[in-house]
Amino acid sequence: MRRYAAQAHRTAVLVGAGADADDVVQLAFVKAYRNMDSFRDGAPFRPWLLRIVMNEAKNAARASTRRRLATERSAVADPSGFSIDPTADPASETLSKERRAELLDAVRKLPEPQQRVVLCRYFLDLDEQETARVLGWRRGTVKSRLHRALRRLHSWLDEPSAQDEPSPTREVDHE
Amino acid sequence: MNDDTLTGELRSLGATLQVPAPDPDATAASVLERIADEPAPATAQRRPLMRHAGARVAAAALALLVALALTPPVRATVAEWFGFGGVVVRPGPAESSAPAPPEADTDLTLRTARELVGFDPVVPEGLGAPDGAQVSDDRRLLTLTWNDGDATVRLDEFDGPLAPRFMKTAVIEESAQFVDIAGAQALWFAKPHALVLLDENGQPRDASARTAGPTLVWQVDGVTLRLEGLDRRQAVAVAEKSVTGTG
Repeated sequence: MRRYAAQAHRTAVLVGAGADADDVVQLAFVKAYRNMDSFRDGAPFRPWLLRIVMNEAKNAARASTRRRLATERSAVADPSGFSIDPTADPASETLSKERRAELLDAVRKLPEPQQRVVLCRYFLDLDEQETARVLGWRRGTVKSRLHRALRRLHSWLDEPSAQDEPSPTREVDHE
Repeated sequence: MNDDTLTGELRSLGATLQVPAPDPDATAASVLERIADEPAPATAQRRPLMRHAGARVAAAALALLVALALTPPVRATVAEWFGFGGVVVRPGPAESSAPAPPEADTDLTLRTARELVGFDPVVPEGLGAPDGAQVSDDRRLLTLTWNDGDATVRLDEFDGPLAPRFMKTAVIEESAQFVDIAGAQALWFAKPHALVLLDENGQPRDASARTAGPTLVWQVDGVTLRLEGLDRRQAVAVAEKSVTGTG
């Protein structure tokens, strides 16, 4: 359990569980323990566990979103849960402080499903298959939502004023 | 800016996000406390977290506890806290029997229903075209029904944080079991059970209360599905196809 605790906590915080992150992780471990017999032998454990963490974190984030002001956007990647350590990534010398803030800000403005897939693929380093398991989506859906997220980030980052336009509340996947 | 640059930047950004992790021993201690606690009263609320500052649990003791089987009632208590995709389960006795589920309006077409709800409806393979489709007034709940003359199959779908939530009365591990659907989790309610819709404050809308027959609950792409009217084998088959996208 200890091996997975750190990544579970990271997942919970980045999904927006905020102050409830510890609670979320504990609840998730208890649930995982209780459901051990429904876990298929041979299937990878980490995505199975993180999926439980993700669901619990989503519930917690929703509960806290309801408490927030209506003007604030979703809780994903709420900066109050983590700090930025520029020295952690050797390649980050190419990423300026301003650019980091700009990127993070843009990600936080994405619609929730797109935020989640960006979170899984780039902030939690899950591969496509793991991402599909953790989010509970089909692989095609992971691909298309990630693609859409990148397109949207591209257009925003090329044209910063476009970020303030309201985004559709729900996107239709034509698959 | 091309895709590679952006994804590279996103990965760099991800690498710089530091989330301090809590002390693993403290987490382990809290988890064990929760597992070992006495059954709580039957409510859908979470219990307050009990922390013992400075508590330490040896890794070996934790491993031993994990290896032990808990008695079903304790497991059920732990599981009662969890909603599952908008379906809240509270402990309680099963009903003796259930009538067929109510059918959806037969005049509304599937296409119109799709246009009304704010999410992508899931129409599982293997059931054919639905005979009835219905959308709730607030457009958050989609219901499809099939009726071959002998039995009615009903599928409720909803999505999103503001979608109506269902509360079911069952006991996890007894009248309701977690089932694996192609690697995803589902919940099979094996016995007839009380079903009621919850409003935004989590309060039951009494007018919606009825007795539901055996039901499978699972999710596809974030949409929660409630399938009633099939036996476990049939329901699991339908769910599996919808999750894997084949068939």
